[in-house]
Amino acid sequence: MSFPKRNVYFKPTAEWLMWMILVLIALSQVDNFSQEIAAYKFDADGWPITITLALGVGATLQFFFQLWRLGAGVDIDDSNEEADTGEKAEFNTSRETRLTNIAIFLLPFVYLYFAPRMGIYFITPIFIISLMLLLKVRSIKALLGITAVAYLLLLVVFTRFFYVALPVGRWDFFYDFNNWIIVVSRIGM
Amino acid sequence: MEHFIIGTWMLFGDLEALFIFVLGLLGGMFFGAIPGVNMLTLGAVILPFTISMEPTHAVMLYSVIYCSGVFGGAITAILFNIPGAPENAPTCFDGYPMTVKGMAGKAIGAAVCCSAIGGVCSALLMMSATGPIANWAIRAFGSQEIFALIFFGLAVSASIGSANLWKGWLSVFAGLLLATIGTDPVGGIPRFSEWSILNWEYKSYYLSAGLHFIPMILGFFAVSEVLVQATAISSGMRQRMKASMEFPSIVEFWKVRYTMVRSIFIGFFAGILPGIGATLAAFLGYSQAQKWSSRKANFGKGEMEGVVASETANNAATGAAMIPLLALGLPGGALTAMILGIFQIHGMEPGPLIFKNSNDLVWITFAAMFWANLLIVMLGWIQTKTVVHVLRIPFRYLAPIILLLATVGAYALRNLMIDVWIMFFAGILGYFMRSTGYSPAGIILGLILGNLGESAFSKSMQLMNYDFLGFFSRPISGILLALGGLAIISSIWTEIKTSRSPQSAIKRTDN
Repeated sequence: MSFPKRNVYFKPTAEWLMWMILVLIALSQVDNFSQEIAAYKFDADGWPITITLALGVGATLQFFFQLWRLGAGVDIDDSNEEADTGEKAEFNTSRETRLTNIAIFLLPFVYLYFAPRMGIYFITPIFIISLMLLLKVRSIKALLGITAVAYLLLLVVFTRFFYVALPVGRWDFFYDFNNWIIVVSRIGM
Repeated sequence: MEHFIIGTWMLFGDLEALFIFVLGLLGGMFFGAIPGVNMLTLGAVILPFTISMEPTHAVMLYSVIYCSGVFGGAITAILFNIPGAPENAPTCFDGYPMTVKGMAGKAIGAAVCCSAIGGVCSALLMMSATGPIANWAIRAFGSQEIFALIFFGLAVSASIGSANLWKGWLSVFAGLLLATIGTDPVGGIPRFSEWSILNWEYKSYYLSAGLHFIPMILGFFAVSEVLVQATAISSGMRQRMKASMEFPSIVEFWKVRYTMVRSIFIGFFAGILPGIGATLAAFLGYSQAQKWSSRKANFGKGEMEGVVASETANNAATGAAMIPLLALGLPGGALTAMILGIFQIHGMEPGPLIFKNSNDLVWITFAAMFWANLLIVMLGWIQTKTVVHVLRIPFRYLAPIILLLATVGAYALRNLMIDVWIMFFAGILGYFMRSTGYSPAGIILGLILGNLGESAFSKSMQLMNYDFLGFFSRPISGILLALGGLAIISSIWTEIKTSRSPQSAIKRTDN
């Protein structure tokens, strides 16, 4: 009988710890709304406490189950990469790829940070071009073409026809620019 | 029949009504089929325009958007693994693997036909017996039965889309916990809107209104899918999907006839119940198809029966969802709640009297839903032949457009930037959940059913004087709870039995 390597326990333990931290955080916040409700015996915190405890019990059962399976020498890899990308995941782990992946994850948050300040109409083309560059699009024609299509969609469908009140920015110049774009997109209406 | 003919005449004989009907049909299909936005986005942005419309036309427009939008949401679920609405989430489980295998045309074809069949059957049932069905539902289904049905639904559907039973349940519990953010349904006390961890304090008025499921679904499916594909592109791993036009044959449909019939009943039954709606119908339809299928091992790997089950059930729920809305004034989901809003905008009140006071409105709506479902076959066939070509566009070009549309879709809901932040956080969480075998669909299921479940549970407890056994004194709730309990025990037993075998390491596809 072969015994599993020690590091195979890392993933299930980390997973269990992550769930338990979530459970502890949730339970520690219950006091903020632990108020009596006159007509209801279980109060406002009864249901969230039950769900949180069920989460903790479920995570613990999963942890023991994974240990039990590891003890029997069964692989517990539950990743869904194959289903998601259509083939077995054997990722290119070069430094450049890792940095690109981090940038892909961070870019939406940069966009969200600047959108209320600089306005959607200013920041969106920059976001689209940046994302395509991260996705290794190098053709100028494609970069400009896709950006133009997306921007037209934003202007014609959402701004002109549906009047969606997208953020126009808080900083002076950008506020004026965004409002100018809105006025231009609604010419003739 | 006479009423239906009059309703049809009012629809096709009035140019304005016909124009609005066509607009709703195309709009629902178009918005449903664009990754990132959906029929609810369309419903939310056009709601103010309905003030100037006749109430008959406005209600008819939304009912048509509802039918065509539920179908349209299947297109993105199949092509991009991004469901247009929560009720299309189970369609992803087999629809997207079919696309990966180069069978996108077949999957969309199955969705087109089954959506139409489910929708037409539901419309016929709705037209023949709205009054009696609504009366039966309201008498037979109290809060105990609604809670029991939600428990049963979660018990049989929890592990769908996850790597194993535990991960499925943990995903659902996480969704249920997220659903507790907001105000409690009994005392209106804000929960999890104030945070104090060590010395860090946070208070949000936004969180007292709870988390809306639209940014969550956009995040868990659209954003996480973009992240999955984008990281695959940057790692040089992504293969372009093959675009096929092949439609399913009649023989293939004949093979899944029992699944269709079962899903029609499940969809209709779940759709009638206020608040349960099409989402639970789709999950139940899928889980039951998997349970009774002779090819259950293929579920999750690109089995057409899975697409048939969820798409038939969710469209069968559309007609049924109109029954409690029109007869009792109880909306069963987000879009039916918007229809209720239209009634209020025009100073009308849905309920039993609507059949006497606004007979025209009721029958033009019924006729429009019937014809919309029939036309879905024709338009859906054309759409299949055209929309599959989207797969030829490299994903690196589509990704920014999907993210932009998702951003606008999440923002337009309440004009709040925090919805967009939540969407992106959910997207990153969804990315890691998917790579570790958890189910984003399970979270969405828990999030949607959590509030309803808690509300039904608290009402039941108060009615039964806190006696848990009271659930078993009512036949329907007793049976549903017992079946749910049995489903949990049997799934745990199966998990234990199979988990130590070497095959268990292979991705889980059945219960």
